[in-house]
Amino acid sequence: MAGVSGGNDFQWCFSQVKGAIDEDVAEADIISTVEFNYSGELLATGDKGGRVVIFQHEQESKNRPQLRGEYNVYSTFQSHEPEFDYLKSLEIEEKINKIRWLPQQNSAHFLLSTNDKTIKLWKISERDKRAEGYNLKDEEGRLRDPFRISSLRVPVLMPMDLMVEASPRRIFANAHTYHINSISVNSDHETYLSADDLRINLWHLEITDRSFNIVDIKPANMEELTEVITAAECHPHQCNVFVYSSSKGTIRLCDMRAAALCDRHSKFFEEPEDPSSRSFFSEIISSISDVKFSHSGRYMMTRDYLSVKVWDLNMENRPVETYQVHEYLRSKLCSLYENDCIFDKFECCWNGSDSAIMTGSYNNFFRMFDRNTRRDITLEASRESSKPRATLKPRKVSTGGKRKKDEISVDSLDFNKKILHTAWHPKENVIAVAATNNLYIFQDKIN
Amino acid sequence: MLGLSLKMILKGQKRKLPPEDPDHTEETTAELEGQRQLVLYISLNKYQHGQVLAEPSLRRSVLIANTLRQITLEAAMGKDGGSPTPCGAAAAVHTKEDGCTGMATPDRQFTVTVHNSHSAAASDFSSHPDPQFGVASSRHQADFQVSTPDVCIEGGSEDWESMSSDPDFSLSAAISSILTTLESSIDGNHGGSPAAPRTPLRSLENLAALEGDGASKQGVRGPSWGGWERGEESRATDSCVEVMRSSYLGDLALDDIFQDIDTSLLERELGVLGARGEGHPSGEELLRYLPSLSSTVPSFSSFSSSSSSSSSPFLSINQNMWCLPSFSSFNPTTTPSGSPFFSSSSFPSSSFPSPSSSSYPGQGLARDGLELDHVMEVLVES
Repeated sequence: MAGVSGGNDFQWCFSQVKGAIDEDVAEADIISTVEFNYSGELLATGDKGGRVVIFQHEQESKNRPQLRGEYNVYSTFQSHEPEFDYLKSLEIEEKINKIRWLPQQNSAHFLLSTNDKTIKLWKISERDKRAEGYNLKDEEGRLRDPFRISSLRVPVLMPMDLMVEASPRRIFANAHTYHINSISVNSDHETYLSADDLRINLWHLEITDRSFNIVDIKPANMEELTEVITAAECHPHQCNVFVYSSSKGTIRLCDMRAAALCDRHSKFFEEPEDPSSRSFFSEIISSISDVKFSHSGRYMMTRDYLSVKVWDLNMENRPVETYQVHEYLRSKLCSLYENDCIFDKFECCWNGSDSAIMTGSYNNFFRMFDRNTRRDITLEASRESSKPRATLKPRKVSTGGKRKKDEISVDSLDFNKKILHTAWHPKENVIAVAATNNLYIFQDKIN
Repeated sequence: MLGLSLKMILKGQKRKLPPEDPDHTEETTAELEGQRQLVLYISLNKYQHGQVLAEPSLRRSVLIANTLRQITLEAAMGKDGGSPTPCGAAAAVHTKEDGCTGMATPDRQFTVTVHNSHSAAASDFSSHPDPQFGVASSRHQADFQVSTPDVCIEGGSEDWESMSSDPDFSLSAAISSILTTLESSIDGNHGGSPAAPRTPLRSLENLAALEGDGASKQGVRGPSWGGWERGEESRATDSCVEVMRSSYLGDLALDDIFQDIDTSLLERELGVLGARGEGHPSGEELLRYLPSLSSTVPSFSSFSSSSSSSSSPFLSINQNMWCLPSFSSFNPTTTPSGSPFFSSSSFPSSSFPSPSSSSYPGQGLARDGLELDHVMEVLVES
């Protein structure tokens, strides 16, 4: 874990929760993406209503050093609006599918946010000074009569209340026929890729009217379609490398130096199927919902329905580590298929030092795995355990017949409470967990 | 009842199994089959309702379609490769279901299908019976029984073999229709490249050419249709099937060639097709699908001639579905280059009704009428 060797167990404590407490959750308030920026100072969330809310980490208070500092709302803006595609008579949802921060280069912050069809580059800048003493207009902004001006003065910058402005700087539209599922900023800080179900495009951040199509898996005949792209990401250090995962449980690593069109992969990662666990749902549960490179760039992690796998980029035939997230659901696959939960796309994330990984589950549970000690823990994001600095109690799901005290049985799990989006601070042990319309922030207790 | 008689027939083969432990295998098999049915039912339902989803997801649709295909494939494999099996499975199912839910005897289709998929069932699924699932499956089977298209065998006195193949047959046809709707909706929703639009008029042109050449029944498949030429050797075997590749007209032309046509039956058939709202299933797709089932002689069709036995499956499919999706990937037979009657471009191998074709009903009916007239002319001349 960041700064601490993997030997110690964490003690995760509740820090904050953002969002309404109502039982009735407005559809638009459901959080659809969570992302820390490169420094961890800012935390962005996107929701189904097309809004982006950015939280900023307040400086730690000298008086109460145990409190690491809270995240408070920094900026809120409407990123995407619902649109209507007249050609196909389809509504384009405003739901924010992904937010990705750009590395900070000046005092302003930039992020990319995307819905199903359009990617936007937003500039978030602060304004805490205002110019006063204009010559041509007075303090209220009314124009002054030029003939009455007898002297010139230089306007002076006066402090004002902090105002955070978000303005769209680029709009990258009309490049995707299918629904965008991923965006990823390249390590060159000039380009980024966007992936939909069948194609991946490479953009330059400055150019909005065209993009390069680098992967196209659309068959000539749509009836032959059996596989779609589910996630894509650029390598953190090598700007020519990216990976994309598919609905069949495969990951392809591509090198953009090899060809303009990266339909032919450089590496192909797939774990052979275990014949003993084959079922009707084998393909569906093998569908990869998220792929993330480690910060080091040597490993990547994939999330399928029941497990998280860590792959060494140098070994294609099987993952180096596999962690079961909720194996107790394997016998319930038919019901989960029926109620569509089997199609839920869970995300996963690394901690700053790549020693731990985290992913979500149902019943507002989320799971963390320590790669060194191989220990895992199940925690719950709930209002009940939301007392300030209260340590989270590990949760357990009982699979056998006998249910111990404090365990919850599989049949009691609430499958409507799913944690699909989680994020880990890049430097510290702070995590953000999105539970439907609430954002929970947990911190590791400072010893 | 049929179910009971089947049970009795099946029981006779029970002695193949080791007497010590027949029950576990049979139960597992039954559960596997039950699961297959359940998954199939759920998948079909998802498709039928999936189009009204606010947010159609291509990934979800593709995964469901793949699951459906897998089930169909396994069912087909099981049917082809499986030897008549344990009855005991069916019997076990009966008692199990009765015991669980107190329902009446499960429908015949279930019983029969258990038999068919037995050989494939073993590889299907984990062998952990899930009690929770077991109950659910019984419940769902009641639903399944009610809502699926008429899968039950017609005529209790038919040969058991043929009957056993029917439910899968029509079931697969139902799957095909659902997959068709799915694909066309994906296509429509996502603006994918439309399938090459069918040009129905072309068939009329070809018929005119047919007449013009003074084609006899032989000439229909003769060298004058070079573009659609197929090997002589294959022609004989697949001729009737090949002819059927074309749409609704296929069966008409087939009858034209082989026998006197009974126009009353013909018109009824057209009526059925017109009512379906989708005048012409993709003949090519159909063709590919057929060979794997060519051994079956279902009694759906009202055409009784044995020489047109292969037309019967076609017609029975007609009654149940529109077009087939690309099952071709599962069928080892290669796509023939073209129909002797109709230009291959009319029914390209990738043909699939473009979204617009699903709004064809009126046109389809009109065209049916036109082409029927042409066929009548051909008949008169020949």
